[in-house]
Amino acid sequence: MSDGPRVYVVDDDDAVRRSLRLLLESAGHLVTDYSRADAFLDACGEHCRGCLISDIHMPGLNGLELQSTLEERGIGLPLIMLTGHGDVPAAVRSLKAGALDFIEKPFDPQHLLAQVARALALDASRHAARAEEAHRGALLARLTPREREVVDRVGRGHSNKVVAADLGISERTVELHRGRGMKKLEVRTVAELVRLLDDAGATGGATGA
Amino acid sequence: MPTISADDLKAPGLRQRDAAPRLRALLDAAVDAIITIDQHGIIESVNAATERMFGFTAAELIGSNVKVLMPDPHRALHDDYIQRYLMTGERRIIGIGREVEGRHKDGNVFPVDLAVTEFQANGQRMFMGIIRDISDRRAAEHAAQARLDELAHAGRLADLGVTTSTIAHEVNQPLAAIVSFAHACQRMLAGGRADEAVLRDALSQIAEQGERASAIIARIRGMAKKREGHTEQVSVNDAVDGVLGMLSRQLRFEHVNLDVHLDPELPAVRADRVQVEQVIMNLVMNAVDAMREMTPEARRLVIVSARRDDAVILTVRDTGPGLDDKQADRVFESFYSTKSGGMGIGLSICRSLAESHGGRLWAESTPGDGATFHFELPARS
Repeated sequence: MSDGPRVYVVDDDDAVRRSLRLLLESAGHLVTDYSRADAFLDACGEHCRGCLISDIHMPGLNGLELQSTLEERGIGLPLIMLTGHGDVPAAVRSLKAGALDFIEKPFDPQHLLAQVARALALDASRHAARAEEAHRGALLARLTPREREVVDRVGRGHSNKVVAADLGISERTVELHRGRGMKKLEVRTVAELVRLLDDAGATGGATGA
Repeated sequence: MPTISADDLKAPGLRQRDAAPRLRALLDAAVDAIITIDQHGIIESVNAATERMFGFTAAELIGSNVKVLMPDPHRALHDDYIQRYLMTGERRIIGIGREVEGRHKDGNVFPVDLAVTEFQANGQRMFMGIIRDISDRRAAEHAAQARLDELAHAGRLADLGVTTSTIAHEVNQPLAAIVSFAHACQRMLAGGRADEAVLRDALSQIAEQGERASAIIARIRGMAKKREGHTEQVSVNDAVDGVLGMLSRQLRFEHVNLDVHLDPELPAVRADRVQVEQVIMNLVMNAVDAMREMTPEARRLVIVSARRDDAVILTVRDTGPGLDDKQADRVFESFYSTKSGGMGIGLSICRSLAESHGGRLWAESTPGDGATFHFELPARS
């Protein structure tokens, strides 16, 4: 299975599954389909990207159980739940548990495709955010403890003189750590440094300070 | 006008000269048609009821073959019937009586009960037929049967209500597949990326799923064919009478002692009459079933209708073994039954019928002291 974004389809009805596959492929999506939720769970892990379309009524693991299993396993694929007549209470439970949308069968294909596009965009932005976070973490991990102490203080707007006094080192040494630190963090200006540290702080990536 | 000979009258104590006019009066007062024929089928005498029933005058009938009073095929075969009897002595109708058809002068055919006796007069074998018009009875039976059919149908409809959601879900599957396949085809054609084999496969899938959907619809139609429910002003008392009328034979057969108290001031309810009757019928039949193990003297069915505030309450109480608290709740669940052969469907349907009318259906019981079911319907005007 390629690691690119895909639309995963889980539905026990062969005709529905095949038609969804053709519909999604006609819109240019890569599709993998499963007739049972457990088969999908066996194949899918945290590496899976894209979105999931699942029927709510299935023998074996049903749509809601699949949703909670994904949640337990930390697989954050945006989920579109397909529901039948009279499934609204279950569909609402699914929404409250974090499903992106529920779509009643028979659905408007345009609407379904629009929701798939939305789900894929959401997954892409989540993925990009995770990638950036990982990148920031990697950059910050390059710093020595002393460099980290210096850039954190510079990032909070302290002058070299204040930082030197604070840390009990010379201004010259502060300048040295600051220059090396910013180079390792791949930032050229203090403004860029501030943004990087803020983003890391916002996602819990910063330490100390 | 011919008269039956006084010789035929075996009543002792009557003087012969009084006997003929007395007999004549007796015959003409009878509600049933009374006809005598000879062994060739020729009518010898008729009474007044014969003229009323068949539309012929006595003068037209006397001397005619009795087969004029019969529709085909009996009309054509009656002479043979008599001959066969005279030759074989094998009784098909004489002394037995059976339901046959009569034919009015205007051609109208109607059901009759016919009893025939044979006698000797003036040394000849004669036959006397006593004929009762049972059109009214037959019509009532037909009406009762039609009502039973209607009730049975309402039962199927209620079953349908329970499974509507399942069936709708089933239809939605092929519909979802059809719209998706069709839309995919459109997109492929619009994008100029249409692979003929893929299109062909999608089209045959569409056709197949269309057939799947119509098979499901046909199944629903088979279940729902007859009628949709409709509401009208319904007298619960009349509904009780109707149901008891329909079940009267069965209640007698089961030796159920009926104790019915219907409030004459009961207001009408807005309801589907057939469904109300269906609920009542179900409660009565459950009561009958529940009492089957009791001695016949102990089988007592109490039905009470009463007004309570803005509602009509019908109470059906039996003297069967009763239900414990848990059973009294659970009897309304689908597929739960206290009967050995019970499906556990009736009361769950009845409760949903009661609720669909804005009413309620509940049970009270003390084990060992019978079960009581209350059926409440709002009496809004």
